[in-house]
Amino acid sequence: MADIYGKDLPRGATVALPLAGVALLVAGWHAVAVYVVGDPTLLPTPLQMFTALWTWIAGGGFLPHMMATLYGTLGGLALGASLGFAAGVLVAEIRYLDRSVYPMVLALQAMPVVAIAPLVIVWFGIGLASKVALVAIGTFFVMFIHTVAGMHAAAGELIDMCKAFGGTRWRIVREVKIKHSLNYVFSGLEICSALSFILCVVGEFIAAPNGLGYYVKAASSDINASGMFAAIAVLAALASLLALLVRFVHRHVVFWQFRKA
Amino acid sequence: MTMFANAAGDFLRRLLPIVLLVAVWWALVWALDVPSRLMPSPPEVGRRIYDGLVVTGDLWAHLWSTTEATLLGFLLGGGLAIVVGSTLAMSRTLELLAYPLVVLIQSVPKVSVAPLILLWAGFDIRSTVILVALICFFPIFVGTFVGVRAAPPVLVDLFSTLNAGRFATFLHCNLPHAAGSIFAGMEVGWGFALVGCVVMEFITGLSGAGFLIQNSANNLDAETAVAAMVLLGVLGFIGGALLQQAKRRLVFWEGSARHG
Amino acid sequence: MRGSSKRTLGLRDVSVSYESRRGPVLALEHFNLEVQPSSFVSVLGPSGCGKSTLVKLVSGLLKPTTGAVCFDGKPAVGARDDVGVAFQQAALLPWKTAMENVLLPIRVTGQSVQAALPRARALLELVGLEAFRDRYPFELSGGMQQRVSVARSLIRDPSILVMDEPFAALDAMTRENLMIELQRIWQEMKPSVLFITHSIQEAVFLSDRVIVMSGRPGRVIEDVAIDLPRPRDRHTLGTPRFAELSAQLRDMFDRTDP
Repeated sequence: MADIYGKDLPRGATVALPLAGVALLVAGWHAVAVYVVGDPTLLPTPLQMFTALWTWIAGGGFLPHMMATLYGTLGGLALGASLGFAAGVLVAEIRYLDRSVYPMVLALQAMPVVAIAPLVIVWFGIGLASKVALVAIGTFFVMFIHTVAGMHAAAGELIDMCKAFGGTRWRIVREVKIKHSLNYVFSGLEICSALSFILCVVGEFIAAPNGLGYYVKAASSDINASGMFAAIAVLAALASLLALLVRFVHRHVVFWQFRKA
Repeated sequence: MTMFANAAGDFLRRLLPIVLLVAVWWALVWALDVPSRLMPSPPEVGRRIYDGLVVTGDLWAHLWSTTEATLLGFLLGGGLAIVVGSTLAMSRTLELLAYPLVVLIQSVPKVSVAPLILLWAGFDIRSTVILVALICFFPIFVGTFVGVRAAPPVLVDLFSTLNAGRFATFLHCNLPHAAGSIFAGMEVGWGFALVGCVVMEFITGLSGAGFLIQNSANNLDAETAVAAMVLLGVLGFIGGALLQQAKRRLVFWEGSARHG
Repeated sequence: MRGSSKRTLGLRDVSVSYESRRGPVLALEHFNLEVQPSSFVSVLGPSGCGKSTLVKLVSGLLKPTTGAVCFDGKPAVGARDDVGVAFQQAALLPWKTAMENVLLPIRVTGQSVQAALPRARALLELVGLEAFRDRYPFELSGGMQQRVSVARSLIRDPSILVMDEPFAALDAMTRENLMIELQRIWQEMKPSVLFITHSIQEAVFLSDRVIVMSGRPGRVIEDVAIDLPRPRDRHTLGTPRFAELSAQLRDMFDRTDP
């Protein structure tokens, strides 16, 4: 598909150009930091950022914050995603619920789930509980919707097979149905992995004693851009790792979707 | 006559889940005897919305702030995304060169950059607009890039045989083909944009729905908080609906009945 | 409507090789072909024999590695103003009407659309779609879309029309109808035609000459003259000479395509 737009590119370009891009990025960042802004407390150079990151990691100062964020994110994700999946399977299987609950939940989608954050904190107080709750609620809805959608998609193909097997084989059909819906479920999980970090960080912004989000906000009051950059970098790394992990599991569990004939 | 009946029926069918939702909400709050400072009942919220919009009108200023900031940021981010997406899609060289930057932008959870933006741009609406633009950039960028690249190769070949330049091919071939994908990206982008706006309002305390929710929650005034959430939902819905309508009008050839 | 005077198309000792993952691949080798003005030449060959490469060469999408593509003896340079192309997919712009699609080559090459309007209408009439000129592609059937594509390929009154299996994606009945239509249209405008096909029936019915190509790397193996009288119509399909020529070509074709 891309061939039309880069017909005359030499062989090694696929590797060389991105590398050049990285170099350009670092150089550009450095230039802006030194010549345009000139204030390391507002914009550190790449080197300064890495030094700050390194000192922070080596000093151990960041570990409690990172763990706080991870507990909130992963805890909430595990809770919300699993409940959302279970609820999704249940609702999709019971036609009465499917007709009533699923559209209700769809209608709720228009409102951004971050908006409930202050209310969640009123309910659960300041600290880990409200972070977990916020992430759980957000991921619950995403997983629920994707699971039901996946079950709907699977149902179409399998109704005929069900008839061939006979109505008594519900167990087989249900298991096959769940397997077929896994692609949707994992897509939902990929969205949830990004969403969980977003919600946790927001929770930490508005009321938390610790966490990477809290740290970024606090560092901004101290006008400590290096610290902010360091914390943001760690957040980016964690979010990417989680996303890659989920993508990896997705490709291996739903392997048939990605094999080329 | 039947068209009107169909439209009305369609509207009612859409309304039904919301009615059910309100009913379930009401039932749960009543049955579990939830104190209204934690979760108000529908009529309490309804009254608050009515007061806020019709009687005292104190909610309008906040609604307008959020709408304004979100819209501006959406246009800024979306416009940039379409330009950048188109440029990168039409040139593999630029795409490969920009690839690390794109990966970087994608991997950073955009909300975490909010305090940084505040540091640089200050405590006013500019920061909100910037965060919104940043957060809705990516989905629209992806929609544009994928859409432009997805122009049927045979059509691009046709333009080649006519010796059309790259820009002419982009304008007459790739861009219209990408329209559907761009709109899909924008629908997602609108949702993200609202998130960005609300989050920024949380931490700046600037006027807007986010501020309302944050402030009233702190004062245990859950009615106002939930009222603001409902209004946010309406805003989200309206934006989405407008985009869908625009898509249907502009991309009129997609999803149409095929003849023969 | 008569077409203007036409040029000769010549491929002189053309070879095309390109890079693939397994190393250089020779698509065409020492390929020679002369197409006289206003003659209809079909190209038959097995899959992968380089037919698409041929289309790309003549339409200017590809340059030969060695040899030259010549018009009236002179090697072609740059844009092919004199070549019309019709692909297997109709490749119409979905947001433009049939009329606007026919006018696309005029618009893109910066010529006067106003001046071309009567010609576009005449072409649409020629392909039988006068009544559908304001319809969009999604309102037209596959066969109708191909007819618009053919009209479009003729809008600049080209010397040479290259057609890359234009009817392959259509059902058998539409295919046969369009084949007969094409013969009629060609009689009117008489461009030289290079017609790539997989169908022996189409090759025999439409052409003055049929070229049979070998498998990769593609070369000309046979050059069969079709001496059926023109104009040809549905009855021609049933004549003994038609059957004879078809059988002859089938034999040759089977030999190249194991």
